This record gives sequence, C-alpha cells and structure tokens, in this order.
Amino acid sequence: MKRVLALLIATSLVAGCAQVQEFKSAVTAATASIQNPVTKKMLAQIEVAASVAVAGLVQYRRACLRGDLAENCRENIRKMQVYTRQIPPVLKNLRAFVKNNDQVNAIVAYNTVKQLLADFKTVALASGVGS
Amino acid sequence: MDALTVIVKGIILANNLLDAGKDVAPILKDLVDTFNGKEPTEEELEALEQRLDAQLEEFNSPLPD
Repeated sequence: MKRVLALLIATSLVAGCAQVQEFKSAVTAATASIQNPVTKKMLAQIEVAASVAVAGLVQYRRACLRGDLAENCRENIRKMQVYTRQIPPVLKNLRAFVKNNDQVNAIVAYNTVKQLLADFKTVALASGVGS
Repeated sequence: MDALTVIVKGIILANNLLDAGKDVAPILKDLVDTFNGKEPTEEELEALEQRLDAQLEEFNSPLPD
C-alpha cells in the first residue's frame, strides 16, 4: 500500500505539475557543459540531480552491506567512490564561488561537478548499478 | 538522460527509500520545486546542501571488512 501511495505521489507531483518540458530543460541544464554564469537556481538544480543519484548509491551500498547483492557489489562501490570522493571538495568550492559571485571559478567548478557526476554514472551503468 | 528516465528513476528511488523507512517527501519536493523553475531560498539551498553532504559522506565512507 505504501509502495502504491509513493508511486501515486511521485507521479502526481512530477507529472501533475504539467511542466514536463521545463523539467526536461532543467535536467538538460544540469547535465550539459556551460559557459554562462552559474546562478543559485543552477546550483540547486545540480545539487538536486546529485542528491537523487547519490541517494540511489546509498541504497545500493546499504543493500550490499546487508548481503542482499552479489559479492562484486563491493568492487562496484569502490569503483564509483573513485569519482564520488572527488565531489565534496569541488562542491564546497562551487557553493562558495556562486555565493560570492566569482563566476570565472564557478563555471569551472560547475563543469567539474557535472563531469564527475557523468563519470560515476558511466561506471554505475557499466557495473549494472541502477539498471 | 531524458525527463521520463529521471521521473522513473525518481519513482524507483522513492520506493527504495520508503522500503528503507526514509521520508521521501523532501527529495520529491526538491525535485518538483527545482525543476519547476522556483528560485531556492537560502534555507532551502542550505537544507539541500546538508542532505547531499550527508549522502556523500555515507557513500564515500570506507567499506567495513
């Protein structure tokens, strides 16, 4: 019942807003390399995108540690950690650059975070995580 | 990743979190608000940052033997 309720809530919240195109644009903006100023809205978008992705990884890790997954899950986690461990310091810099309107460095940091997200997503998909 | 993929993954994630006894509301609210083009407040951005930091800390911690 809870599963069905969550499905209904998620579907109605996302689809019911009738702004799927804007949603798609935001996703595209959060995954494409940019040269334009990084706004707080863009910062929030990339943080939400990262949060959704990392929440999935956290669930994968927990399931792995419970022994619910194949033994190679530990190796998969280590492979993804190569990238995810690079994210916090860059993210910290990005937040500071955006809040101080240091756009030159903000753009570099923003593109670096996006590349790291793309890199670990590639490893995750190649390892069968999230498929 | 297209919008449909994001939505489907969001729903799967919501179910996984629910199974794990987690409150899915904050993540779903962030998804909807952010992708609706709403400008985040300082408090919302800070809450989002804290949650992401906590997620990264958990995932990045060394695996126990």
